[in-house]
Amino acid sequence: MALPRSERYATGVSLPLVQRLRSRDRAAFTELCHAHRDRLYGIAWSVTRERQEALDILQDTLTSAWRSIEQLQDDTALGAWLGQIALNHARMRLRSRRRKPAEAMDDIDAWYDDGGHRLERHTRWPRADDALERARMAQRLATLVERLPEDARELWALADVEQLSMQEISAIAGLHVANVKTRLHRTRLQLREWLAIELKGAR
Amino acid sequence: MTCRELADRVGVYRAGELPVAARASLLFHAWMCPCCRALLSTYDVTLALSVELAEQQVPEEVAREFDRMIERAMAPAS
Repeated sequence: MALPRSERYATGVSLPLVQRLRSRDRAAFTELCHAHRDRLYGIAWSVTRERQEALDILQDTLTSAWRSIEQLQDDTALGAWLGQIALNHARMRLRSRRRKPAEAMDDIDAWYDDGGHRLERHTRWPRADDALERARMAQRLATLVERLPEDARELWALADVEQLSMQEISAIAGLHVANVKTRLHRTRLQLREWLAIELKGAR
Repeated sequence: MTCRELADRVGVYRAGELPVAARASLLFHAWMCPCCRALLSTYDVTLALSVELAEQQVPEEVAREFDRMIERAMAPAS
């Protein structure tokens, strides 16, 4: 039932399905939902990291999609359309539960001297093949992600946790691919930096 | 290439999108600079840890409830 990954987001789906959806064909909507079920749940889970919230987001996504289905255009990329709805609901949930404000990301230039040399040497990281240590590090990373600004967290979740392609993220988040790549790289550097500081402090 | 420039390019490098000359320059710098070698390896570790934070499977509850969720979505708004 699932669509090939390459057809889920950036491309359109055959016109008859769009036309059936627009005429509120329940079987067509059911087919569409099943084709995108796992990816929609993945978006919701990776952004919120809460199972019950992800389930609620999935329900809200289906409900919103059905209510706005008559607005579909012939060239609407259905996967991207559903992904956008899921991401919007995930954002709303995230905002409503956020207990602490996000931290500002570092000015990367401050990590380097005027000649572009790294100012601070970091501690050696634990061995990556130690399963217990890796689990601890992953847990630390999950905690650090909570500090990220919302947009950075979303891109990290979609790309690095959910493993969506840059094109898929671009279509869902409404950003140019180049913009996604730049922001994502900035976020990865920040997470690596925070993790390095945490590991240093843990020793 | 400086450490700062390497940091800017590590993502493109890891994506396999860095042109040959720039890649050679990056690798030469990393060979000379322990700090940037560490950056390359810990950047990879950070990415690998992120993957490990994914749910490996959609919960059984989703599979079980999904048809009912679709029905609820299509129910008239109360």
